[in-house]
Amino acid sequence: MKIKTSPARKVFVVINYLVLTLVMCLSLFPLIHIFALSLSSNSAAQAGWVTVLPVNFTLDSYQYILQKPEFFKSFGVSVLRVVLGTVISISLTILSAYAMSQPDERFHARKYYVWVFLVTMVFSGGLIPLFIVIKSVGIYNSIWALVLPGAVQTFNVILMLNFFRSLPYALTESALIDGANHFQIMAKIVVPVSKPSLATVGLFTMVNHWNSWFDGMIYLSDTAKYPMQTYLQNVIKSVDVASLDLTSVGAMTNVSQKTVTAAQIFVAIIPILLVYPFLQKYFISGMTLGSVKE
Amino acid sequence: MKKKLVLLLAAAMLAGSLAGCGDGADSSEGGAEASGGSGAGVSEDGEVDPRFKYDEPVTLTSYFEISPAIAGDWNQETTLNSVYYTRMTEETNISIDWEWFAAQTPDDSEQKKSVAIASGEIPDFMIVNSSQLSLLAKSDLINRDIGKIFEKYASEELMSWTTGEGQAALESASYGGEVIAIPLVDSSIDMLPMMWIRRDWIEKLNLEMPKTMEDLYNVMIAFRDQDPDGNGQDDTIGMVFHNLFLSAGLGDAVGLFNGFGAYPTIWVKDGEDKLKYGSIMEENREALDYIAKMYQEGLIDQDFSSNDEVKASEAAASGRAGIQYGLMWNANWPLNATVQNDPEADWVAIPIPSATGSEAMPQTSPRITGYVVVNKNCEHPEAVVRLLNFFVDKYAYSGDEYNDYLVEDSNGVMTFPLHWVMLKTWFPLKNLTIHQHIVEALEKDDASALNAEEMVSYNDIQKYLSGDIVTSYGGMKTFGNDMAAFDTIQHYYDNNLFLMNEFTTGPTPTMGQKMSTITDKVMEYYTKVIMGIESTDNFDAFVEEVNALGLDKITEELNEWYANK
Amino acid sequence: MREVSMKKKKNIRTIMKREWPLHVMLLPAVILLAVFAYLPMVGIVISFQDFVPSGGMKGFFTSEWVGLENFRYIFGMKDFRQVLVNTLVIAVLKIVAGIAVPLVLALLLNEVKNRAFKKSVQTIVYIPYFLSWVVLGGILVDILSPSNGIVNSLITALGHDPVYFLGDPNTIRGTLVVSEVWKGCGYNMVIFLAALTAIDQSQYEAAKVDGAGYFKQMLYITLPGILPQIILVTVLGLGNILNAGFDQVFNLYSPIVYEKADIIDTFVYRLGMLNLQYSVSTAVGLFKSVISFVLITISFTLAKKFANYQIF
Repeated sequence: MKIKTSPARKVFVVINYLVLTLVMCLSLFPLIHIFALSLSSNSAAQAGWVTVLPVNFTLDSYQYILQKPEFFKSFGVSVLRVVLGTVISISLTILSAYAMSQPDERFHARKYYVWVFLVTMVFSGGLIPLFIVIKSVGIYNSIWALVLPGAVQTFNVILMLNFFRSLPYALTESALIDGANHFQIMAKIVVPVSKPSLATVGLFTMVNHWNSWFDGMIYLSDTAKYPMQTYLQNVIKSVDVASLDLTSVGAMTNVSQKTVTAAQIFVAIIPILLVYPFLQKYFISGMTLGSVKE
Repeated sequence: MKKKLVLLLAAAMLAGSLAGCGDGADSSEGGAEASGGSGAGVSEDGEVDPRFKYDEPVTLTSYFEISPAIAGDWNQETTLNSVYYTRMTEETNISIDWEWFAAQTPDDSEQKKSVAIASGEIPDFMIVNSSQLSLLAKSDLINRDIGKIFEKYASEELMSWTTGEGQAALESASYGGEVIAIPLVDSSIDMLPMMWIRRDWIEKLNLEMPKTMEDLYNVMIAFRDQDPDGNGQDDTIGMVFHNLFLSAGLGDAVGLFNGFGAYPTIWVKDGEDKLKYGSIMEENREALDYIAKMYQEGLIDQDFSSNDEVKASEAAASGRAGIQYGLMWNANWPLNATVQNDPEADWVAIPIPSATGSEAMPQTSPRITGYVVVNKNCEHPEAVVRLLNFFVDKYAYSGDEYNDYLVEDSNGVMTFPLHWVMLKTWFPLKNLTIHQHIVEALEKDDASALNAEEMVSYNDIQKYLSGDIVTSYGGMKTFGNDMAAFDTIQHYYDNNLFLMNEFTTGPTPTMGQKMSTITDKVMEYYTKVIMGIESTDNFDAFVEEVNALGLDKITEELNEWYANK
Repeated sequence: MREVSMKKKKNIRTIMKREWPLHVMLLPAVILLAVFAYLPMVGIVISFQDFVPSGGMKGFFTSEWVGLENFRYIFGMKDFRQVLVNTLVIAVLKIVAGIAVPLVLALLLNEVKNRAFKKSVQTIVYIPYFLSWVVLGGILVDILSPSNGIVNSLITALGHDPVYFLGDPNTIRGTLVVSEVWKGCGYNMVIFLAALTAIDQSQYEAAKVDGAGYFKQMLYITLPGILPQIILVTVLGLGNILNAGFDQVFNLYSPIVYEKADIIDTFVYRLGMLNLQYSVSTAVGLFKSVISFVLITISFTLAKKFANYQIF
């Protein structure tokens, strides 16, 4: 399998590795900084001395968060939210995208549905009416309030239907002629060959669920039900200097611990670092559709 | 059955002479009260007992906001089962049903409250900020008679706390002539700007504490150039400074402007009994030129415009800066971090330097921490007042009973659980009085005259004096007797050295629409001048511009109010 | 006549018979959209009202009508034109850079043979996406500081004057765009990488046989292979033409750079509107939606007409 490489190619390969390594360093920097902060003493952090290496190394902040049941509780909520949200969202996206990926002659009402979806991508009633709807539907203060309202993302539907469309027409046409119905074709033919797109949209959905915090603040009244990013948001942005007075400032030293915040941010990223490589194998080229087709 | 009766009673009362508030329980304990025509706690002869107890349990719904100061280890059970809440229910028969518990941050509790207001579903009572109050003022959601109810049921002590600094607090809660919310007050003199400075550096460099702006300039130059931290590196600057320099807190410039007789962001008298906006006063020119020079000469950080308070305070914590304007609590946080990195660090508070030849007058505004609004459907609006009475009684006038309420805070100190109480208010001179008593006790070396609350601070100072300077830094530097924060406030207070914001009403119509654009413009112009992009030569043009943005209209409206005041 | 309508009826029946599963598939999504997207759109009416809350949805019907007053108010603001320009410039730059950089990275990555390295780069590039702008903003202020930031240490070491990236109107837009790419490029990279997997490997084999070099292969096989995704991402990006990134700008700008960096969302925020002036903020939202909608619809049509590519 030796392929002859030209000198120019060799230069390119070296530069390529260098560039990508640089990009990696740039992307890794914030995380390393946060990690270093989390392992430093608070006074050093407050003095701004920490860059990429811990100053006055200590594990205090990790000990501190280990004692915090809220942190782990919110971690659990986030996991539940991601699983539930992704399963529901992906199912709806597959169903919608499959139907919408049909050519007009196979699905005559398609063009009407396009508008139904498209409008929701740009127009929204805003926070207050949605809040009122969520309250009156009865899902306020439950995990469903985080999962259902955004379950159908037109962006993802479009993304996935484009992947579906790139599949060879013949693949489904012959099955239709053989009398298979759409549910069978979707489940048995289209979905199995669409793993890269499922992984992509799945990843986006998971990431969005993992990252979002605002809906938690608004649609949950019970702090014990907060997902982690909602919980973290309060930790990160808790100081409003203008409203401080003597009674609240006394405990400020304990609260404004940059190091503890850093430790929590760091722990919050770990799951992504674990899940990503698992999904990643679907993006690595080499496992082509062509090879699956056979 | 009972409910019906209550409603009937309420109707009867409405028909009577009282303010139109539905009031369910008639307190007939002991049979002293007449059977009709009087509200809770109202005796036969119309006397109101502010410490009344309902016959039937009354439950109010509300929201619980968890202060960031206790967020770290707050526990719901402990709070609700605390002596404060159990005794509150015992003595008043009122209990509170908290609809949610959320962190007191702009993102969390403030958002939740705004959304609740906008969607029109508010609890029996809630504490709102001034912009939420102005939205509610337009709506039909709240009880507009609460001002009268407050007047009727407030204990003498509660009333004196609320009006401790005049009628300003109540006025700021009035819309269309009615007081529609109960203001929760705090101390305005506690908000007076002062200067924090490293005494160890002053002594090391053989300098004097700055009294004039010129002194200050020389001290800053010395701090910058003469290596006060002695590390042999040219790494020090003159002063902590950040991008929100017009909001008093830490590392701001309010005190600096005041040193020039300029009063940005507040409304002051122009000498002819008219109000004008402090940010466009002529005196600001000089102050701005001064800061611009500081910037140019590297006395403040070159990237201050990207740094907020917390970021800027790194300069103090790391020992890069030895001067900052700020408030009385700065030594509790974040200046206490300096001593953790450098045991020599000795921050002291001094009155702000002046450029005018006479002593400078720092500025302050009536301080209102929130407004209590009551749902118009709440059957017992007076219960809210009763709870405030309860707080004032127990917090300030309960004698030995005070000790029953104490809980251990995160530093292991026993304190009154102020953060567990939502309905709380303040006495303007409270902290200053604590300081006076402590100083006296320190001089006499006798703490027997101190009350329980003062003892907490006194013990903290004793710990500092016995060598524990790191954990007790804040206590000593705030309430102590060695150039502490309240020494400076005492000085201001004794010599009447403060200028009050004259703006003490609800926002005028144009204000609601235009004021944020104007403050925005001011910040933009000021920042540009400081960074040398703009010049004070164009100050007149700047004044003209903000006037055109609506400030002249606002000034007109305010003066109309002021003239009729 | 009769025959025709009979035929049509029959037609509909056969169509329904064949296509009902597709309708069933869309049903759950449509129900959710109806409840959580369309029902709340009732609230758009408040852009034409002076909204005063009053028990649930009632406020939307009882508030006073003010016509276009809210729009007039916001468009009448002195600085609004500049703000609109800033928004467009920053958003367009972000859309372009946000596609170009991930695309180049994906192509470069495609040339890497070492799987472990490839996987590491992919994972790591995605990391900044998980940090909020509050956190990243703080880090950026640090490393870009003209007095002691790493970047400026490098610049001064090379003999140049330090640059105040966040405090200079001339550099702020660039800084916003670059930092946005830094945070977000992992996202689009995933789309391109997934698209790359769909390219038939046999095409490369054939090209090699024909003697095409790596560059030619990229130009004639790889790029055309993922062109649909490029168009797709561009078109969908257009929907965000008036969203230049509130969280980012809010955490990085200052009054000194308002003239170049103040965008609609931050401007409206400072007016105190996101907070409680719901009518005006809804009006601004409606304005943004209408523009996005028009742009997206046009670009869908253009893509269909000129690239013969049906996006939706």
